Amino acid sequence: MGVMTQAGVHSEDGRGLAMLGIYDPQGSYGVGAAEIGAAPCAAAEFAIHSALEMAERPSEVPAMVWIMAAPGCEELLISGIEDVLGNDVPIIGGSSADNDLSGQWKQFANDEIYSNAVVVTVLFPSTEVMFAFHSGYKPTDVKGSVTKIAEFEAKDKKVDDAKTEGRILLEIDGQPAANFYNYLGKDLISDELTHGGNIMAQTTLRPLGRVAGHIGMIPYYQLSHPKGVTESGGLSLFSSVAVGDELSLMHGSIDNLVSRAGRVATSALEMYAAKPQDIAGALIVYCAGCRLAVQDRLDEVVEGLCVALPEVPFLGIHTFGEQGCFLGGENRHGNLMISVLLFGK
Amino acid sequence: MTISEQLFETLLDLERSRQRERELRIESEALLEGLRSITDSQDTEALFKALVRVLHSVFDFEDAFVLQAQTGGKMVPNASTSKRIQGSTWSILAVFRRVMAGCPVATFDVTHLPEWAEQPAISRKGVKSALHIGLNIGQQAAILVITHSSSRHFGATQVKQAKRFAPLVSQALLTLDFQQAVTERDRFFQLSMILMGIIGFDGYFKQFNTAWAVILGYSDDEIKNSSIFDFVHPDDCEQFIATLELLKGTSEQRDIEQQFRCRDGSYRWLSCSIANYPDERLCYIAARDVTDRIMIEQQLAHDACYDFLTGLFNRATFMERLNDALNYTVRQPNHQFSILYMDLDRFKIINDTLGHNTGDELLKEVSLRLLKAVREVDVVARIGGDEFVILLTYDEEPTGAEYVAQRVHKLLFPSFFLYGNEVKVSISIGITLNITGYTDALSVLRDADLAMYAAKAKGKSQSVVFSHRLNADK
Repeated sequence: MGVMTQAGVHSEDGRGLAMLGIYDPQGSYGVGAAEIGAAPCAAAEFAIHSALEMAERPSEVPAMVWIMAAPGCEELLISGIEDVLGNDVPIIGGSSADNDLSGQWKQFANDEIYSNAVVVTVLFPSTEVMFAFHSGYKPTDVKGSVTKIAEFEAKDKKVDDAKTEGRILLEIDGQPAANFYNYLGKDLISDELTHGGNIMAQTTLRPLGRVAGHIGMIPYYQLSHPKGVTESGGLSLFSSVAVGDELSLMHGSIDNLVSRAGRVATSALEMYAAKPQDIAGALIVYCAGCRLAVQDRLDEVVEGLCVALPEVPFLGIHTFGEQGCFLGGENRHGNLMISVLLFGK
Repeated sequence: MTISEQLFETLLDLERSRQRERELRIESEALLEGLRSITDSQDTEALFKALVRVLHSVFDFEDAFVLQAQTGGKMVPNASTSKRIQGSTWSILAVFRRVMAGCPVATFDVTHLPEWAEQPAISRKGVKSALHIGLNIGQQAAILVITHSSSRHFGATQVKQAKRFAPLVSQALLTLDFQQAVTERDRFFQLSMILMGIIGFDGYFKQFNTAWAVILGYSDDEIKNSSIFDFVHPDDCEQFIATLELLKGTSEQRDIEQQFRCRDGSYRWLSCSIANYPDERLCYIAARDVTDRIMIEQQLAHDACYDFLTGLFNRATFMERLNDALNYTVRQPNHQFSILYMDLDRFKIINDTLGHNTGDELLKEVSLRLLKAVREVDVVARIGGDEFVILLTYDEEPTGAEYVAQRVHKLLFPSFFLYGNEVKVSISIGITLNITGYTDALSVLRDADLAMYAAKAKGKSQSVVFSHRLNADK
């Protein structure tokens, strides 16, 4: 996948390393990590308490939480963090990703390396932090309601275990989910219906979306990216859905995915009435699915960010699931999303 | 298709901006409305109530209190919506130090905060989460704390709101502080027995305290409708006006002592410090009533020159005048003088038989008759118990001394009636003329004394002019 910085895309054979340093003697920061194991909520709680202890701010509410975790149960991790801090602390970050969805991701924190951990950083910066969490998709009129999800861990035909309830969508409007999606998407996954397998690339521009909230009269969407077809004809997803959720088929385009990162950065500035020269640095979370979709045009993504944040150092990562805070204040795990976190001077 | 996606995103961006503006506007309006009522508050209690109303328009909380820093690194509540906070004392530790440095702190569990750990009684009674907002009220550090009985009640949004909220509240509190300071100053202003006022250059009062009415006896209306020049003694008015003129256009201060007329027509001495503030085209005046001191000074000055019993000049003043006369004679040879040295005859007998009161009264009456014997320019002094001297000065030949001596004898001839007694008295007079060319006053006085004793030797009511022969006879 590689990484992005203001200097460009850094990826050689899918490998790249970049670091963003923060010097803030007036602020305070702490990192905590925990193996997710069988109790994701408890792991998140443990990690957040550890991070607060390291920051020497036990029981204080941080300005923001930066999260990096193995994919699979992000909703529960968010819930665990909110159990400690309440739901008014923005949680921003992304899920670990590898190059081929084979589960080779790692997390590292405080001199430890993990494969299935949650790592959180609590931020008590001395300056303002700004953020925006958007998708680059629009809803279509094609909709259906979730009528059945898997209530146990299900075995995918070809892809990894789906560990969290709600990550296997069995039926939409009473019909097998994969068939129904293929029908809605006009034969997008016809081959995989019979053979199963990874459908990430085919579904990147046609994810499923749920209304997460409204801005004025306009709804904004939390996206679920279908990643495979199960033996039972369901769809495995990178994020959870629940029975009763109304799903819309979303529509995206490569052009929009390319331009969207810069627009999200601009949106973050506008939200806080800030100017690029007010920004010391930025963290960008750019969905790995989108990154695979835009392919060679990733340089244009970086260019768009550089235009929005001229002379601002930034670190951009690619993730299998993005966590962010919508304008209504909801912390959500979504797919195919773009998060921008700006550190003020 | 691409266009409609971009249009959708643009609409979302627009709505995001609108929503953000709407939220800020609502929050600002609530704050401004509340701050108006804070600023209108006349005392701490009203201010705190208004503050709590404003807080409720911004934050969801149950109780609020303000901690004020004390000496010794402690804080105590000076206002609270909850009785359980009253009487508590708080240490200033790491969290409060950060709060006072301008970083609001929200906690999801107060028991883990070091400052709250020292307040188990409060946290046990239902406070779980709190938001701490530092307030800067001039030199005084204060912390506004709002609390809730639910854990995890305050979040990052409230911390951001607190950052916006704190400067406005601090300013409102500062305004109240200033108003209270003005009220206190006004109380001192009215309480002071220093006469304080602000006048224009036309002399009319813009502001004055009650000391003017107390000390000078006028009503407030009379002062309000008068110029300060109406009160200044006519003899001092010119100096007062000149002082104001000198102050015009400067930032100097001048001190003068002037007499001010009281409502009963008497005058009191006021020591005035006057300063001009050119920007305001006004003069500030602060005055102390120094009448008693001036009276004492004048009395002391009088006592230094005059005989306390008769009111005539005393010996020191006489010698001074005699020296002046001698010196003047050196410069102006035509100028001459003479002295009459006088001693009452039989005064000791009168004193011993009729008493000291009668004796003192006699001395006073004799003094009055001696003054009648001379011109205004002549000097009459009492230099001993019953010893008097007269200094006569002339521009020409001194021919009048013996004449004056005769007038003295004649004026003392009539009886004195003192405390029911008829008292007859006479006086012996020795005369010295400066034709002999004296150079020092003591010699003049010594020779006059010698002549007086010669007169005594001749009998009562006699006069003798000094001659060197008297020295030979001695």
